[in-house]
Amino acid sequence: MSHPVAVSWDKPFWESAAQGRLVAQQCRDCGRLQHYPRPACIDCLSQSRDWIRLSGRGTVWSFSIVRQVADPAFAGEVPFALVDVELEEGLRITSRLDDTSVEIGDRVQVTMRAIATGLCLPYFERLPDAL
Amino acid sequence: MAEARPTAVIAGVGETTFARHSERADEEWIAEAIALALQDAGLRRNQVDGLVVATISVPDDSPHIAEHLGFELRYVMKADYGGASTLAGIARARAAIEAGLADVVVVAAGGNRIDLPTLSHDRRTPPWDYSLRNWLAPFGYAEPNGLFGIIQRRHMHDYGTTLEQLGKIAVTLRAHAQLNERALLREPMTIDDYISSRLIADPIRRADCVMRCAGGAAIVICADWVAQGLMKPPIYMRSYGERVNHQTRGPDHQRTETGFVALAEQIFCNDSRSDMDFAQLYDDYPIAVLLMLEDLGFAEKGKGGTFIDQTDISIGGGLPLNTGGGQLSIGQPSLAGGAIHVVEAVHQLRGEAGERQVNGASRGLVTGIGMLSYAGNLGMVCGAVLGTEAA
Ligand SMILES: [Zn+2]
Repeated sequence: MSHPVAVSWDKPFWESAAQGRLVAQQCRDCGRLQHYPRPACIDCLSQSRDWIRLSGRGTVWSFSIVRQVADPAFAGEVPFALVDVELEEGLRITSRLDDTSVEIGDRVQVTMRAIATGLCLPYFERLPDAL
Repeated sequence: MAEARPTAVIAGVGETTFARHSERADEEWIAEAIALALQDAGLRRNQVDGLVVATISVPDDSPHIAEHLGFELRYVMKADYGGASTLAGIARARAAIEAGLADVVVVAAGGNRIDLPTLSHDRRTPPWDYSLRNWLAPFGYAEPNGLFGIIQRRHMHDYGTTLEQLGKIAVTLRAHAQLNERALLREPMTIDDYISSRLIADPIRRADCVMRCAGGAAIVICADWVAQGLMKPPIYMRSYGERVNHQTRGPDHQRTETGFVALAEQIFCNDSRSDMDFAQLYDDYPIAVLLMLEDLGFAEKGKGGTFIDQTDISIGGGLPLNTGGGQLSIGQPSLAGGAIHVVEAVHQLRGEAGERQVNGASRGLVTGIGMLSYAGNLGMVCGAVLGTEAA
């Protein structure tokens, strides 16, 4: 099983995730918003940053339905959708969604899921069509 | 008085047999490939003064790998660019030779992706790269299968690309493999076989995925004055270009677009697309080949499928593609998967491809691609036109 190992520049992400909040780095110098967390701003290389809470809502940009995994630890979880979600803030996040009837353009919402190490990972679930 | 700078040429190529199972480790395959390439070039081992090890699976640093193999050198490096490693490694070998840092450089790749996962960190559990380790692998992301599935589905959604079009690539390569005794997958394949093959990361099917195998390949690059006395004719790199991490900062992150868009003019600076007697395109997936055909300008963006429909990509056709069967039918012997395209190109240009020879081949395209960036496309792309004459 492959677990995230927190590093100096992504610790606040995992701390927020544990409290149910999806956050992203925002550069204090140029305003750049970025995900995944980086050691520095990808526009200006500043290391001065805030962590901004995201809405957690977005649309499915594309996905694959995973039926076979290389890592045997995940073999019992297939099939699932590996999704690229375009968040309302314009960021792209790769994640997972268990409902394999998902379609491109579906509205989705983040849901935090605890994993064995105590960290929480941002999964997604579909929002009802009415929303 | 300054001496004239040498031109670097490809003087030798070598491929081991490829194996579905093996007890030999990466460095043993690499050593065998080096010996074969030197034999092909007609050069002795003590003439080698540079080594490029194209690997991401041997964890040792490049001076140690060279020492394991007994090399005393003027130049050494590791090319750790995934599938782009060999071709980009050749470009570095060429640059080193033309800068006077070395005269004879071997670019070597290979490994055992099947039976010895614990001897290399090739098995990505846990992955060593941060973006994979923390942001993809914890989801069980199914490695490139899952990521290319995302890309292929979006391409099909946006442009109407069909399974029949992608299947034609796999089926044609399989037919080429029937003319290549080194290929591991030679049983005939039909479009129906392709479409009905088992889903791995839908829309990616079993027939889309390269089969990992064991093996090695190496290429000898040397200064033209060294090549003058050799039996086999030199092969020239008529152009070369590479891009690393295009679109990382956006704003329009087109995951269905490769870095070749910005690279095409550089690759075709001395030759036109219609001059290409063949194309050896890095084929870990048919969708990757289709994206390259679009982004290299053989087809408009989104029309790669139509291009495949309308073009005879078989040997004897308008654009013979992966004439040895490609990795999709030969197998992927670790990073030597990127080398087999170069080896095949050299055999074609020397006229020694036997039954699968493209008549009169004098110029051809070779590409390498590696690394899929988080929520993006390829991290590393490179391409070259190889030919029987200098540009
Ligand atoms: Zn900034």
